[in-house]
This record gives sequence, structure tokens and C-alpha cells, in this order.
Amino acid sequence: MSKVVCDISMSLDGCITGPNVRVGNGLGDGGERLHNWMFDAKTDADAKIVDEKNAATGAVVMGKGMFDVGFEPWGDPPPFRMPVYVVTHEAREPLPMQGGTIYTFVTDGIEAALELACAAAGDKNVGIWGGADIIRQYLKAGLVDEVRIQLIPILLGDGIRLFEGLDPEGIELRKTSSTDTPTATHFRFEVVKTS
Amino acid sequence: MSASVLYMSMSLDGYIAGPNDEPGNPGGDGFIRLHEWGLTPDGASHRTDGPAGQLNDEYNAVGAVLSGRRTAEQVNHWNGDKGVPIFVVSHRPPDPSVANYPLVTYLTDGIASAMTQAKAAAGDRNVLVHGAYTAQRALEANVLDELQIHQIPVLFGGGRRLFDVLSSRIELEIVRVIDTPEATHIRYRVCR
Repeated sequence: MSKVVCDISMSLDGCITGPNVRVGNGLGDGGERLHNWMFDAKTDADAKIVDEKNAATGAVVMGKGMFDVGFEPWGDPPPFRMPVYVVTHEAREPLPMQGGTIYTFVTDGIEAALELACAAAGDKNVGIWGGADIIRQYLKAGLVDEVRIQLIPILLGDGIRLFEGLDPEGIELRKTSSTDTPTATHFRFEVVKTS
Repeated sequence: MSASVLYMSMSLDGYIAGPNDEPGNPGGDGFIRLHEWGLTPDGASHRTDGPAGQLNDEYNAVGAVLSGRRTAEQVNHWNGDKGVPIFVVSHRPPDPSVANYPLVTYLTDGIASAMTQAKAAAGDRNVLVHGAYTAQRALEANVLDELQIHQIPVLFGGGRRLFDVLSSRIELEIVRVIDTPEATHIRYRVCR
């Protein structure tokens, strides 16, 4: 069955970027360290996690901030190879890229973006892949089935915190698995539906 | 060789104490949720069996304690009796009541010096480090060797963070992971 899954890499001190995030420095100072587990430091177990995630996901939702800083480094073809829905306030024509990625800009809110993504994903999952603000909005709205956090053994010291300011009222998590590799502790949490 | 090890239970969003952490409500709202993993189901005593028992044994096998003042005062300096010397790092002299506790020593000459004294007292056993502020200063002064973090799958939304803004990035190495439904116990070594 199709699920809505947040998936993000986080430092032990709770950051998903380093400080000074801007176009040209999308993950902030030192923030690329959070993604080593997918690239240079990848073990077989890490590769399996990435491959499973990509195979199980049929569409991606992201925030405009993440799109703005990611667009250039992702290049063409972008790594998604599936429809990507960008939640934004600025209307813009869809942007088809090579390799199956189509960026679609959704201006009428997170629920509308999720509906489009669910329709595109079919029986695959919808990935809410960031940034922090969009993940918090979906969690707060009760629209998330599963949270996956790759906890990275680094203290970034400063940066964008995933859970900054999120009121946890009504958000209950149940850990369903934890996979440890030398490069990360990979958590999966089910969001317990209370109503 | 003796190591300095931070032992802390932390929520997924990074808090070691909940909101409204004040006298009469030590650890703040929901604090016990962070520590249930180490307690028997009735909450009356510490678990002695299973992974929690193993972690409690390690905790109790240290040779000295180095704590921040806030933590020490909240638990009344462990009533002066943790079986090993207790060092409290502070900028101010202790409350007069501490004179009743011969094993408690207040150190006011900084974290590095305090760690040296705690390690000397611990001999070949580890130094148990407690407290968020003290942990941050020990990390910045490069005198913290390991972190034993008990990751609890709960969101607090506010309270006291274990890691606030640090002056530099610190690389860690995962040494051991013990996973249970209540907590994921991750031991890290600080890379130097």
C-alpha cells in the first residue's frame, strides 16, 4: 500500500544542514557530510537502503527552499527520475527534465501537493524529502505515515534543525526498525494515528 | 586506559529535559519518558537484566563522576554517595550543605582542569560525565572521549537541548548500537 514517508539525514545534534545555507551552499557549511553515507562512505547496507527507497518511491514532495538551493547541484538529469512537486507561493509552468524528473510547482498548499503526488505515485510511496519546514508542516497536519531518519555521527554545531519549533501535540512515533551501519543509524518510525 | 563518557537520554528532537524544568518539576514535563528504558515496569528500581541491565552496570562501574552544577543540585548531589568521587564544575562556590558530602568536590578552574582531576580520581576506570552545558564545554575543550546516548523515540517540542550551538564541527565514530523498542543506545567515540 502507498505510504507518505518523510526521509532525511540528520546530525546527532539535530541539524539537516550546516549554517549559512544559500544558493551555492545548499547544505550549509559542512552539511554535505550528512550525505557521505550515500556516496563516498557507502557500505553495502547503506546502498541497499538507498536502492530500496528509490524503488519504493513514486513521487517526491519538497519545499521551495530545498528546490532553490538544490536545483543547480542536482543538474540535468536530476537524481529523482520521477515526478517532483514543489510547494511554493510562486506560480510557474512545470519543468520537465531529462531522465523522468518533472518539477511541478504547486501554489495551493501542502494538501494539494500531496494529492497530486499520491496520484502520480500510484501504489508506490510519496517521499517528503525536505527541507525541515515542509516536513514539519506535513507532520503537524497529520499527513505522514512514516518518518525515516538517518542519524549521522557528527555534531555540526549549528544549522537548520529538523524539529525546530515543532509542537509535538498529537504526533506520536513508534520505532519500527533501526539499522546500524558504520556511517549512520537508520531509523524508521511509524506515525501512530490516534484518531 | 580511562575514558570520559557522557551518559544522556535524549528525545528524537534533541532534548534531555522537557518544558517547565524548574524546582518541583525536575527534568521538566515528560522527563520520566526519557528514562523509562532503564527502570523496572513499576518504575521503582533500575533494571538489572537485558540490555538495560548491561547499560546500568556500565554506568555504575565508573571511577568518578563529573557533573554540571544544575544536574548535581537537581539530584541533591546523589545524596553525596555514588560510591565514587563526584566533581561538580561551576563558576561559583558550592551551597554550604555540600560540606556534608565528603565525596563531593566543587571545581571552579575550568572544564579541562576538572577533567584532569576526575580522571586522576577514577584511576583506570571511566569518568561519567553528566549535564548538557558541561558536555558542550567538554566537547569544545576536547576533553570528552565518548558519548553514550540513549535515543528515545519521542518528540518533546521544547525544554533543554543536549547540544546547543557549538563552536566547531565534531566528527564522531559509532562504536556500538544496542537497539530495543524503548530506546536505541548508541555509543560514539569523539574523533580527534
